[in-house]
Amino acid sequence: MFEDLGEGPHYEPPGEHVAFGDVFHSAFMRDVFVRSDCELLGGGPLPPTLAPRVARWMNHQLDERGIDLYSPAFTAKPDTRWALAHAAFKPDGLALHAVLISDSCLASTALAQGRVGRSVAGRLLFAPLSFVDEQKWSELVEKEDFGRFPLPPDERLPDGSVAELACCFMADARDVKEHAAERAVSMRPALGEELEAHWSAYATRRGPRAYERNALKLAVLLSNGEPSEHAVAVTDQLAGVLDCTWVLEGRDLEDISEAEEAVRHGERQAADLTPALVRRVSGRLRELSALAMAAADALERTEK
Amino acid sequence: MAMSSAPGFLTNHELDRFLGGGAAGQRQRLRLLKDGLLPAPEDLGRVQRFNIDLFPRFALAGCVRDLAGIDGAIAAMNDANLKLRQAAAFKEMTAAVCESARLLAAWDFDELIRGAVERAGEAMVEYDRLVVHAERDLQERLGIAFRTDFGVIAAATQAFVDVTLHSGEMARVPLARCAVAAHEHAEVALERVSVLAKELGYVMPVEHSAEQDEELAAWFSAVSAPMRVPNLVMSADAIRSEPDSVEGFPYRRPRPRSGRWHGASTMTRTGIST
Repeated sequence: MFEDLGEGPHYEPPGEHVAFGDVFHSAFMRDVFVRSDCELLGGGPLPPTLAPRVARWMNHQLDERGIDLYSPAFTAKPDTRWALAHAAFKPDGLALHAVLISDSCLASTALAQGRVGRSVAGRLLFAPLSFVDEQKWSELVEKEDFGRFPLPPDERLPDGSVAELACCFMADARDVKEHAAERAVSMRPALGEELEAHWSAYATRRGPRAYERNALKLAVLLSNGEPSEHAVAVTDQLAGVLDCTWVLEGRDLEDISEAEEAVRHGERQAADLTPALVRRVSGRLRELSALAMAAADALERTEK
Repeated sequence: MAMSSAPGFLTNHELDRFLGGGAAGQRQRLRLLKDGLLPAPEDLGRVQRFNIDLFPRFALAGCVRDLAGIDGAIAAMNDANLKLRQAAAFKEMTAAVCESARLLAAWDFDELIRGAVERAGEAMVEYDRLVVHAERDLQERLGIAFRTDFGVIAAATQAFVDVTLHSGEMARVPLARCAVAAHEHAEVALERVSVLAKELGYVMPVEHSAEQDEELAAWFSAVSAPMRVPNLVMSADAIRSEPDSVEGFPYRRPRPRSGRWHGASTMTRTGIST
């Protein structure tokens, strides 16, 4: 991976709006997950007047906040929605790094960024960062693991950072909004694309990283073992067809979607936007057709 | 066994204090007894320097003279008291109270209770349970009310103690109706007795089982001990379960592929749609 990423810089200071690929460093960003012992919890803050006695039992000095007590034995309240869950955390309990995985459009809606008349609501998906040694980090770059995305190094991130896509958790948009300033970096577009492709491969087994690997598997079959240069060249043509569909879907059709919204909201006229978009899509389809024909021919030649 | 509760009895010493203290308080108690407003006490006799009469906790209702205006109140209290005194827990408890009183240098209800709990914790809790049951019965029959709330003393002056209850409510009680040493942060029980339109509050000690306190302390000590993480990998900064390596795909490309899929990220799009 990272063949086309270039030397960087891969990150930039966090922008005004929270976006896909932003790395948070915040005390509440916990890698939380449920197990079968998950139960709803009641309880709450113990009155500060009683906290000192509990503190004595616990051999702790409690600060002014006292202590909170939660238990399934107390009645769960719908307004608090506490539940027993598990979390991976640092031994010192310090703040966690996590990267925003929800796409930027969804994040903008949930956080009411540039949205008139919307309130902050919903949840956003995060992948926690873990930190591995240099050897493990290089191994993850070399041998792709769709569940783990090694982040290119940066002085603003801990060494050996890996986004653990297999350990995602959700955070309430209200709290994300409140802690938006606690972002270490934002990803530049090229790195964001890599993360997106990796995330698609992990979450849906689709997209560039998934089809590249599956195309290579076809080359293995064609070579009956270690993939030959020729077989890889053939199957790369298949991957090239899918590159074209990825661009058609992810850029051309998304631009059409944006244009339609601009028209619907009275910002632009359909007649001004549509002809160019139609030309672009038809051109892409012809390009796709040519690539598909060439790939089919190349594949058929392997049978002769 | 419940972790803490309010004592189900009090003695003539507390009643005297509640009724004004000293000889005046004693005279007042004897007057109430004569008028039948207090249930007949269990006379434990002289223990060390103290004459001890035990009253069930609901005797506090008799301190409100309006009780005399409720038909059958006196008989109902005496009936309830008689039943309580027949309980095995009562006998065990009175023996423990005598033992505890023998060690007192000066009268200290809080210390008396602590000593009795140490000697007969189970019986004390059982007796308290029976008293609560009797109070509910009296409540239904006579329309009087008993309520116990727990809290801590927030402040004490020469005239009042302020108690912060666990509910968050603050209650101010005259110092004369406080049966414990009025130290700030001391845990107390606030007994509230309502008779007709009158409610009186009394500050009483809280029964704690020392054994359970120790168990609880041990439990908290265990849960607050430093973290041990068997089967987890501690990397430079984080703990996570290191997953088994994914099933390795054994083949590698002979050369890197430069894909033409770049520049098509939906993720940089922040348009208007939801």
